Formats: sequence, C-alpha cells, structure tokens
Amino acid sequence: MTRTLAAGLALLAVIAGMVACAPLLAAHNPGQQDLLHVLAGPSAAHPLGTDDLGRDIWARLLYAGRADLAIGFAAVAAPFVIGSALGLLAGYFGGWPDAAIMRVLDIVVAFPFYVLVIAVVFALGAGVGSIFIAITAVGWVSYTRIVRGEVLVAKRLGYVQAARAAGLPAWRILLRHLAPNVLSQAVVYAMSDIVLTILAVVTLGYLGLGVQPPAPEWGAMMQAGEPYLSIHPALATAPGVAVVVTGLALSMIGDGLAAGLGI
Amino acid sequence: MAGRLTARYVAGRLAQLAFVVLGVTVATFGLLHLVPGNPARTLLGVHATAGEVAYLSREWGLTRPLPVQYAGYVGRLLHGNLGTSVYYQAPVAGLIGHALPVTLAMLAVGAVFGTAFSVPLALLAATRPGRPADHLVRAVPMAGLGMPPFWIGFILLLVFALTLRVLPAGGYGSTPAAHLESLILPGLTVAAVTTPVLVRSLRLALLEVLGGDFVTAATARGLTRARVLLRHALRNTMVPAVSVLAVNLGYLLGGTVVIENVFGLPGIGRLLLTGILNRDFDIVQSVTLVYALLVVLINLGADLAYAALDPRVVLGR
Repeated sequence: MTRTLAAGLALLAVIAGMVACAPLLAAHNPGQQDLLHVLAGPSAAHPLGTDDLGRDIWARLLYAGRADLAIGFAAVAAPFVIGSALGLLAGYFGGWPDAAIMRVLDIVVAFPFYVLVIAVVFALGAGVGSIFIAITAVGWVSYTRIVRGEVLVAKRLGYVQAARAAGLPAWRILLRHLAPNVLSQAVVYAMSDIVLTILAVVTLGYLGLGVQPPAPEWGAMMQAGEPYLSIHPALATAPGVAVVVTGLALSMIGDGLAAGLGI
Repeated sequence: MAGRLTARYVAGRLAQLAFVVLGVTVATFGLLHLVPGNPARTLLGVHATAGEVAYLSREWGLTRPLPVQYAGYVGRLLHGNLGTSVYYQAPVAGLIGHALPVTLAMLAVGAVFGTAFSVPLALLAATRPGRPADHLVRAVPMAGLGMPPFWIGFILLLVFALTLRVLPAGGYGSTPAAHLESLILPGLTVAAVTTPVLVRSLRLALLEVLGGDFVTAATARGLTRARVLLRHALRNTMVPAVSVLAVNLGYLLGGTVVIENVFGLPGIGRLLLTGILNRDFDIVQSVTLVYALLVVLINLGADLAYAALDPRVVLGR
C-alpha cells in the first residue's frame, strides 16, 4: 500500500467519521433557527458562526456531508455497472453491438457534462431521484470507454483465447475471465468519478436543482451564503472547503490505487 | 497515408459529425418529452385551465405523433429558428447571438491564464522528477480537481473584488476596456478549472519528451538548458497537451456554466441558468444544443489541426 493511498484512506475515514458522528460533534440541531442571532461570527457556542436564519453553520456543515457523501458514492454505482457492462460487450463482441454502443457514446460526450446533467435534472424536476437518473444517463460513457479499451487488448491474450478454445460460453468468459482482469482501471477511475459526482451534486445544489432546502447540503449552503459573501464569507466558503478536502482524499486514494496496481 | 489531410479523411470526419449532430438534436428534442406529464401543463403551472393547456399543446404541436414533432423541430432548426423565449418575449437565436461572444471571450481569457499557469508548473515538475517541487506540482491536480468552480469564483471575488477592491465584482461593463477588466476574475476561475488537467498531461508529456534522443542531441550540441526546454522539449508536448484539452473539453466547458453565474457575466451559461429559473424551455433546449455544437466543432477543429500538423498521425481507422 502506497503512502498516498494510506493518507487518502485515513483522510476519508476522518471525514466519514465526523459526518457519521455529527450529533456528537455539533452542539446544535442543523435545522434549529435562532432569529435573534443571525449571521453571527465564530463563538464558543457556534464555532463557525450562524447563517442568515441563525442556524449553526458547523452543525449544518456536518449534516450536509451526510447527504453529499451518500449521494456521491451511491450515484457512481449505476454508471459503473452499466458503463462497464456495455464496455465489456462492445469490446468482446465488436461488430454491430460495438458500433451501436459507441455511436450513442459519441452523442452523449458531445454535451458538456454539467450542461447535460443540469438539463436532465431540470426536465425531470429538482430532487435526489433526478440527480441519480441524470448522472447515470451521462456518467456511464467514461466506464464504457475505459473497459472497452482494456477488453480489446485482453481478448488477444492467452487466457481468453484458451477459455474460448475450451468452448466456454461467452457470458462465462466475460464475467469470470475478462471482468476481474479489466475492471481495475474502472475502479481507479471511479475514485475520481466520485469527486466529479460530488461536485455535480454540489453544483446542482448551488443552482437550486439538488437537495431541497431546508435540508442541509453543501451546494445549497453556498447558494444561501452567496449574498452575504462580503459581510459573512464563512457562509459561502466553508462548505467549499469541505468539498475540497473530500475531493483531495478521494483523489489521493485514486492515485494511490493507480500506483499500487501499476497503471 | 500518413500526415496528410486527405479529402477522404475530411469527408469521413464530416459524416461522423453529421451523425453526432443529428443524435444531439434527438437528445435535445427528447429533453422536452422527459418532462413528466404534459409540458404545456408544466409550463403554465397548476392554476392554468384545461382550455389554456389544450391551446398551448396545439400551438406546440404536442398532439401530433413524436416523429412528426421531431421532423418539425429539425425543420425549424435548419431555418435558424431556435424557438422563442417566453420570459424575454424574444427569439432565442438572438439571445444566444448576444451571449455567445461573452462566453467565448471568457474562455479565451481563461485559456491564456491557464497556459500561463500550467506551462511553468509542468516545466518545474518535469525537470525535477521525484524532488519536492515535483511532489508539490503533482498535488495541484489532486487538490484542484475537487474544487467547485463557483467556489473558486467566491474566493477570487472575496480577495480581489471585496477585500483588495482592485477588480469589479460582477457585470460586464459597457466599453471594451471594461469588458476586459470584468473578464479577468472569470478568466482566472476558468484557468483554475483547466490548470489541474493541463498540468497533469503536460508534465507526463514533458517527462516522455525529455528522455527523447532529440533532446539529448540538442543538449550535446551545447544548447543552453532554457533553449533545449523551450524550443525543443516544450514544442513537442503541445500536441498531446492540446489533444488532452480537447478530450476533456466537455467537462471543462461544463464547469464554465456556473462561473458566468457567479460573476454576473451575460454569457450562454447564465442564459441557460436564467432559462432554468424561469422554466423557459426553448432557452434550455437551444443553449444545451449550442453547447454540444461548440464541443463537436472544437473537437473537429482539434482533430483536423492535429492531422495536418503532426506528420506521425496516421489517418483513418
């Protein structure tokens, strides 16, 4: 295990631990308003101050992490599975399945990632369900590209040729022989994809299309804090720091995994 | 057939482009039909009468079969009709025409800043592999990729516009000088989004090139280190760097949508977001289409330039 991987895992464990233990680490309820103490600076009672409704920023930051981390990790699962499966099929069978999958892929990658995600969430209506659908519809392409490329190389190798010569059915070769060998690249990519997905969730939250207020979410907190940037900058900037630290942890895990697997 | 822009290659590339553009129009057309329920009802809101909904449905041709509607949509696009904004009461094509130059100007300023940041950083890292400077530069992509573009915008606003008060906090001004001044912070934000990607690819390309025979030969001829790096090594890393930029264009361009919103720049990203805010469907549909066309055209340009410039590129698949 490389030092980068270990450091990344440790950092992620700290973040996940803090988010999971939010009720212990925050003295206040994230939804509890205190209209007599709005936009207050840091104090013993409120380590990061309060927002425009007098809610404790530190508590909201921790509880928001639950939403962002959970959605970020969960939303990557469907694109990973669907994209990798399509990549396996396209790479192994070639011919018309390959052509069909790759032409659809050409169309999806023509759209800027955020633009298509924003447009799909807009069309489906704001909310967590729409985020999952939008990210799945747009996110599968990277996995398909990566896995297809790996399969194209691997299917010329001895172990696949041997399995074919032995007369094994295609599904068995795909699942038992190829998949375990070609998925490591996709797993490494998934780490940076979680970063991109969390960024997408945060961006949608900032645009008011994501997790709906008053539920705490980093992007929505930044949107709410934007008007107070000049008088109370912590409101808009603190959630960004949380996003950056989370992204750093995941990037370190991805880089460490890549180095460990010799990619 | 190496390194020549043959008519056959260009024709094949254009055919592929035509297919993708057609697919893109199917997708933007399909967006309208993703809306749960009747789009006319969604637009008019819950208080609209059945008669109003029926009228708008007829007006939009929503009662006709889908293929007929799609043909009508493509026909309108071919006439340059991108729809009408319900909110602005104006043709969407005109709105995009006004907004697009702002977005392109912001991207151009961003590209200049991005190059100015990435090239020295990559040179610094690649000439000292494994040393502290290299580790520091390699941390840039790791930290940078996780930064929300609008958050970077907040920080820059906070420092340069609100604290130091040296640059405008938003808007686009009315004179060319004011335009340029108001593009500095958005451009820096665009650069902050592109630099991580660019530094990573430039560093790897430089490392590969620096081990090449022609670099050793140039050094052996007694050329100065600076000349070897800038004239020989860096030049040869430009092609891979540009192609990495082109591959990541979709991601990078998407990140700029929100930046315009933070700085109040009247570009197509902001137009898209106001369209979303006002449930102005024709704007959302057409701006999405324009973004895709932008990506497709820039990629075409990059491919053709790549094929024309690098004699090693073998054309055709």
